[in-house]
Amino acid sequence: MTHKTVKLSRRNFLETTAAGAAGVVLSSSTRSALGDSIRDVRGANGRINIGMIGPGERGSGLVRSLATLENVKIISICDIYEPNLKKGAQLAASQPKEFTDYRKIIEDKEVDAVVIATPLHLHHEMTLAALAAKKHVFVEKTLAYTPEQCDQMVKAAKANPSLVVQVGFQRHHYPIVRKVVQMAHEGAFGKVTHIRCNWHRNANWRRPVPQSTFDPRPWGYPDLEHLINWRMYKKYSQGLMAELGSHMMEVVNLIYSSMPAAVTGFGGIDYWKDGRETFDNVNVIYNYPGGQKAMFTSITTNVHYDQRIQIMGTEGTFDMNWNTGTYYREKAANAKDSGEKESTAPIQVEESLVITATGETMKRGPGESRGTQVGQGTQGRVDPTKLALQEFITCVREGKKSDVDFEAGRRAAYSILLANKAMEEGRVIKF
Amino acid sequence: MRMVEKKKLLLIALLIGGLLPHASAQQTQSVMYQETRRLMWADFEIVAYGPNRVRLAEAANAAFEEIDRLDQQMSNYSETSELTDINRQAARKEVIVEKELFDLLKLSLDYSRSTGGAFDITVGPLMKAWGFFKGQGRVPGPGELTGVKDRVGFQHVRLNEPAHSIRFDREGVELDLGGIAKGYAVDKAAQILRESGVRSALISSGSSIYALGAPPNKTGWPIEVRDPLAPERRITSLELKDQSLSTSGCYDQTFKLGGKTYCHIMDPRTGFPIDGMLSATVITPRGVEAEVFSKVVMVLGVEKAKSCLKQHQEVRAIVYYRQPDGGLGCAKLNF
Repeated sequence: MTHKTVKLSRRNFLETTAAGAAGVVLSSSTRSALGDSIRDVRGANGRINIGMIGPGERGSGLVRSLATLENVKIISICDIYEPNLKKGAQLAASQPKEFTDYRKIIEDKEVDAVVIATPLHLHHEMTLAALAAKKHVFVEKTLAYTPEQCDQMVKAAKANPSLVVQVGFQRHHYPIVRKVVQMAHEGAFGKVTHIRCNWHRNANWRRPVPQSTFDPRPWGYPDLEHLINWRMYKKYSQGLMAELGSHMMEVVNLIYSSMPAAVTGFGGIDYWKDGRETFDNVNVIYNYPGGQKAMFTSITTNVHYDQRIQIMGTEGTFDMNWNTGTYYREKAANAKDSGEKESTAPIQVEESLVITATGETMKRGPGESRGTQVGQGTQGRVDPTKLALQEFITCVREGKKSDVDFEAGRRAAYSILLANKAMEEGRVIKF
Repeated sequence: MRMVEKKKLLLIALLIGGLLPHASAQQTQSVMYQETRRLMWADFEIVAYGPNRVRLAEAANAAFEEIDRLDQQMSNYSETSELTDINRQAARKEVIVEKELFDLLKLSLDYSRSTGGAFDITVGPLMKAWGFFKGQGRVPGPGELTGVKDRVGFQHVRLNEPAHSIRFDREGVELDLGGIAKGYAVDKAAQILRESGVRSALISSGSSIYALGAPPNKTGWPIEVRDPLAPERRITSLELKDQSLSTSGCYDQTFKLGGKTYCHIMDPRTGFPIDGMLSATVITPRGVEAEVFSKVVMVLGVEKAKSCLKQHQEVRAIVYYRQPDGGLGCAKLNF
């Protein structure tokens, strides 16, 4: 655990959050240049040519954003399901070549980078093929279906240091996430000991299945339902943990600057007994190397708490969703590891300060609700998917390493894959 | 000065209660699913019939998710929306626009040209000057109005089709899709429901609706149009099947000053709120068209709307207006 023990007074807490907000850098080491060996971008005028694999539900969102990036062109696109392929091509607005075999994209020497948004079980094979063909890779989260696959992908990325690899954790790019990670590392919450996360829904998590004569059996799906709702089936998916929990655990790992040490939990198919194979509710507890804990629940029977992360430290609590959060200072701080006099005395809640992610501080009127609100501010507010893709493109263009490379992706992937194993086997799994 | 805000004085009444299935053999195979979500600052409602309630819920959820995506993309209230980003940057540089939004902007400008500017997505600064954005109506001075009008007009928006990018020709131009986005969203929702196998559904944003098929054992979705002067009274009834309907009216968001009532519907050509028209209900095959022409008819007035709709035979309109003696006038165009 590399948690910094810098203790901040109420006054310098505000000064620090304001000063640091102008440009939050999560991990300076990952921003270092890849070196002189970065391969040339072959497109005309520095244009980066993209091969898009899997423009389905999530992939079409990536296509929409990719097509708005300057000097980026989707030159080829691939999907086994024709409606997705046609929609993706239309959204790309670049007359891309259309394929049903992803290897055609990998083989295309004009393609500089591939974006992979297929079902999880295909990430490993496609990514390794792309790296072998010297393509930069943006692969949707979760990194891979098994820990072993993750290891192989990290190894392949290391073997190709001139190639940019990035995992599609778009929520990593929310300004509020960057801000909160920075605040945690600077000790704004004291020592963070517990983090509670949830991603709740009140729906069956299925997509409607169109009426179609398409036969997906040659690709390993017994029918269209299995292709459209691949998240429900273990052969293709790691369920709620991979699709939702991974976003949360990526953030938790950033805050704790570590991967978990152990995990246990309960999950089941307890409500939606509709033929699905992946759990309809997951409830897991992680133990981190320093004894810190994290809890994650994802349920499909109640949406009241929706998507939240609650960070609990010895000096304060931060309760956030992806857009805004509120900081609650503890009235009596735990002074166990603090040499500061201030933290041993009861602290009156500072009710009058609002902090935005851009560093603005504003006075709050008397009588307003307790807590200090942390919002995204008004600068740099862009769709996070576009931010994530922009980062990938910038890294390719400038020869930088992505913040969310395969090492970061592996940490998140291990967190969710071992949680599933713990729930399946009803035991504690040590990392 | 007094703001008159009549809440939810809808001209459209959906007779959903009367559509509940009866105990016939056919209808026992059909169940109803109904859900409302707050999106685009409106209550979007989907009512759907089909053999399986869970499948209907899945389809409705997918449709709502698409409306939510459009809301996040097209809102001019959100700091993170693509539209806000365009408004922030397009006066200074070319901004590349997502394909479907670009197509909608192009369609909007086409409507502007074909209606002589009666429909205009750059009308936002005028709405602000008259206080309609904040609900605090005011009459701007002549100098202020001239300055604002200089920033209003579809001719200030340049689209670059090959690059699907947009550029404004001056600072201060703002796009506002409030006059078209709900109709577009209703169309997209209908498309998703249709692709999901739903054959009977009504999608409503309050002001714009789309009737997909018909309810069980009915020939269409019954819709009431209410009297704009006496909203509790039904003034006409319609039945819709595979068509869209949109109503614009001066019954909501008005303000009074010096004995005059100002309507929130703006004539982009003059810079003044429209006067004399009470409501326009437009029926067309597409929601986007219904929503646009409900505004166009209100702005043009009865006679000019008649002339305009001669070029748009697929657009039918029921118009209510105030006669010189104060009574209620009605005209049906293209019926």
